[in-house]
Amino acid sequence: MSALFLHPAFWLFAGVLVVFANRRRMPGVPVGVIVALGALLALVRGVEGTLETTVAGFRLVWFHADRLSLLFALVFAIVALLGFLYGSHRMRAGETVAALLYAGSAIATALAGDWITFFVFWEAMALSSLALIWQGGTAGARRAGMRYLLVHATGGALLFAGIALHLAGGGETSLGALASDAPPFWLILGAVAINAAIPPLHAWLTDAYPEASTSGSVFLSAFTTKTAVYALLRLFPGTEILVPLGAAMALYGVVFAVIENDIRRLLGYHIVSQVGYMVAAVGIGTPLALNGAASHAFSHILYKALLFMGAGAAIEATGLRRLSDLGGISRQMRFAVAMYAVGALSISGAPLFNGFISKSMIVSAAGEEHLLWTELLLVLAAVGTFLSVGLKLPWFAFFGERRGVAVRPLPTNLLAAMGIGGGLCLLYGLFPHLLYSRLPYLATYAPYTLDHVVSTAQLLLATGFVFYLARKTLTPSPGLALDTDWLYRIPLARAVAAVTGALGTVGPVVSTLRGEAVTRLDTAARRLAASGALPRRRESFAFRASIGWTVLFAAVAVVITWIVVWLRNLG
Amino acid sequence: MSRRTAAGLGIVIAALAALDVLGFLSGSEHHGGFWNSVPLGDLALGVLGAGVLVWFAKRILKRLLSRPESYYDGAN
Repeated sequence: MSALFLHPAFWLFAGVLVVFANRRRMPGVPVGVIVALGALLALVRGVEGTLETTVAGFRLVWFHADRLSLLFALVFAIVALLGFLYGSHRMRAGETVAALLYAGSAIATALAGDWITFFVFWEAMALSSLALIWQGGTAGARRAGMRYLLVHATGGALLFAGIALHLAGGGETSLGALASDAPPFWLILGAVAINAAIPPLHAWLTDAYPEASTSGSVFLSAFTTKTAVYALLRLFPGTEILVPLGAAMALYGVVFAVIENDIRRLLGYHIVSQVGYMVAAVGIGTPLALNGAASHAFSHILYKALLFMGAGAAIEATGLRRLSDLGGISRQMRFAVAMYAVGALSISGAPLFNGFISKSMIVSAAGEEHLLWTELLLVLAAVGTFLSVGLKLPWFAFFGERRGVAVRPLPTNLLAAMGIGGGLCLLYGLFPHLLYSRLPYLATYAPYTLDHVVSTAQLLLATGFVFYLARKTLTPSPGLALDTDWLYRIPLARAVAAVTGALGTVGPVVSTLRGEAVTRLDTAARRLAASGALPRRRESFAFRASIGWTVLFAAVAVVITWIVVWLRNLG
Repeated sequence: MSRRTAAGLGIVIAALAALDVLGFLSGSEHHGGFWNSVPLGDLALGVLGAGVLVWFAKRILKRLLSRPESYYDGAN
């Protein structure tokens, strides 16, 4: 039992039980804060080691702590604590349970030492994040959650098939780098690429994250894409295809962010862009680049959570989420704007902030390997990042033209979470060795050289100058920009409708089976809703959607796996 | 741009140029692209990069991909 307490995810999963048992008597969030603190304290000492057990003949390594996994688990626990503090004025039991499961699963994924444990928590993360999106409580959140499920069920099927093939082929049960000439390599890379939001597989992120609640977005910004970066570091270091993909991804995100009007979707595009830096660094594969990817993931989780908190603060204060509706509210929320500015300077890689000490490491690693185009694209992405997150968003949301928007006062807990987040961004920026001493690979790097500081200052100044000249052109307008989600929202949806129509001949049989299944699921959902585990208004919808799609994709995964295994045996 | 802002900008650019030249004279290590080996090269790259980015995003991408808010209404 004492070994169990070593596992930080234990605290978060235990919190689920406490919240569930006391859901009618106490708000969930104090429990969230306390258990996240417990998880954090379990990680701060940084004890390395392995704990395992055998179940049905399978060796399950459910705690494998080395420097890489501890780094990710630590920052996951920090952001979980910040997220619960941030949302403590509004989160209810259902959202708290989803967030606890999500954070716990992310930590458990980072600490998993074998493929089966990794898969179980990877999928638990997908389902709990889906629940968190649905807790947004709007029709938009429900529909975005369905699309999120569609994409992540596909990713889960690929991962399942890849792991099954890897193990069936006599592969190691412990997690480790994969041979690139085998099908499991590409299947698992595909699954990880979906979670890392590598274009064109990224649209689930910018579609779903803005639809969650303001506190839900803070959690969502931290875990899914960064566990994917962890998986890339663990499984695919030095995979060359990741270099151009990452560099293109970094630029893709910023280009779309320039034309985006929704503040959280704009920040979502910058998750895509910043993860692009990490993906490129994993592909470069040198110790400096891998340390760059790990440290940038650490920095990114902190400043991105802070930026989503800032965007959420604007939404909570005004009820508005579009730049074209906001403006001139900075005087009524000075502290939140100041903390947002800390996050914006961090993501822009400004000296003294944490983004500088990690992003410059990746760009330097590309330079050292003479990857000119990669370095150039990453530098241009940095310019675009400052342009949209550092200048466009704050100018049009907080400053700029006053539109007479009513601003409600922000709760203390929200501001406290932002203050701590901002403090951490500054702390790691001012004292880089606090982060560098935890990095997993042997490489030395000095961020504060005259060369780095002057180069960065010039880039930021130039960007500011262009923004000043082009600020009228950059004025946001209502509307949306099509992205790759259009493919499954319009043509694929029409194709599915056509196939469904063609199945009309067997309609009575399908309807009977479907009706029976839905009735049973609805009964189960109503029982859960009555117990408080599901929001009452959505139980039927949630159960039909999630179980239907999950069963469908699990079945597809199993069939694909068996076909491939059969073909291999045949050969 | 007011005269005061322009003057401030000029001072900042001059300071950056001085630091950049100082860096070259002191022989500090320069990694990577050609823009790092030209004084104020990053400034030029920043102006060019940000300009191209704004032009491409607003003049090309937005015209191609922009749709009304209600575009997906009724879709899945």
